[in-house]
Amino acid sequence: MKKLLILTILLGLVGSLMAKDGVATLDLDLSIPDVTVLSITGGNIDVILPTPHAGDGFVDVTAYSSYEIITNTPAATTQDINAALSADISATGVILWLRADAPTSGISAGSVNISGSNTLAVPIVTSIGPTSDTDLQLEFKFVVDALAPSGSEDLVLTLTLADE
Amino acid sequence: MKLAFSTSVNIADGGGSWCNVSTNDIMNGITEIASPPFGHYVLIVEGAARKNIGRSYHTKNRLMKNQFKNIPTKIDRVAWHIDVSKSNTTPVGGWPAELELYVKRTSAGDPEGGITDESGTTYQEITAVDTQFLDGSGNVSDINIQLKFEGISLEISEEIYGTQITFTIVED
Repeated sequence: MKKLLILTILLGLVGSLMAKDGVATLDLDLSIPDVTVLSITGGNIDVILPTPHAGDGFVDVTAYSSYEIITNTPAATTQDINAALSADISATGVILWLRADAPTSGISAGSVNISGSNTLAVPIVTSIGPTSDTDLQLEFKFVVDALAPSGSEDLVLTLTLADE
Repeated sequence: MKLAFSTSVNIADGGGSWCNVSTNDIMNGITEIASPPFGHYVLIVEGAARKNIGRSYHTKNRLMKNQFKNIPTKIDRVAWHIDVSKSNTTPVGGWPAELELYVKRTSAGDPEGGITDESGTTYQEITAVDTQFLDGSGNVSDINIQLKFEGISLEISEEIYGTQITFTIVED
């Protein structure tokens, strides 16, 4: 019994010597939210094809607006901006082309025909990574491909940022 | 003889609500975010003040005969240092290289002088490797510390970036 007591004391002493280092831990969670901003900042555009002079045909018309984009999309998940009109253009003999400036991280698709984009959205910028850009130009070009275009359109353009 | 007690370090945890970055924060271009400097995270060092026991002796007093009597003679302030490291827990793919975590102390502790003068007063990065953060001696309480994340930007995608910070006290 005496030996057992001595052994217990010795083990206790060794244990306390081995436990001389202390540790404190702290758990932290840094929360980063999704940041996705895409908005048209240049306002609406009104386009009226000018009446041609006698003997001339209608001429193409170009109008401008602008947009901004802020996104913290993961670098491994690039995004596109897709353009869609509220209705396909029904005016006879008019084709609408749209060209968007590329943000710092992204590639412009150049001028693309969006006349039928209500039926099928059209990518105008691709390969977008994390970026923050303002005052990026939107160039609308109304190309007249008929001698006598006709009709009136009141359309809404929607830009959508989506993962590729 | 010296009695062997464990030197320990504890931390009072004021919570991680300061770690919630808002969308506006990011859109406004913040690059760093720090915890409150005082009273939020507080380190306490204990068990580092020890009684140095006087030599035992036989008393000649009959009543005390064959009894050992220990006489405390002084208090030793045990020298120590605290290492800090972190182990990232989320996301599975790890943290972006530009996201960094720093720590510093913002108070002298109680009693003053328990911590070596300039030790831990400037931000130092916490990495996966134990790195010395503070050094001092004896029991010290009320060591306010401040944590700071750097490298926040649009390059840091939506995620919960979790980590466990470990403070290890080592007797010198």
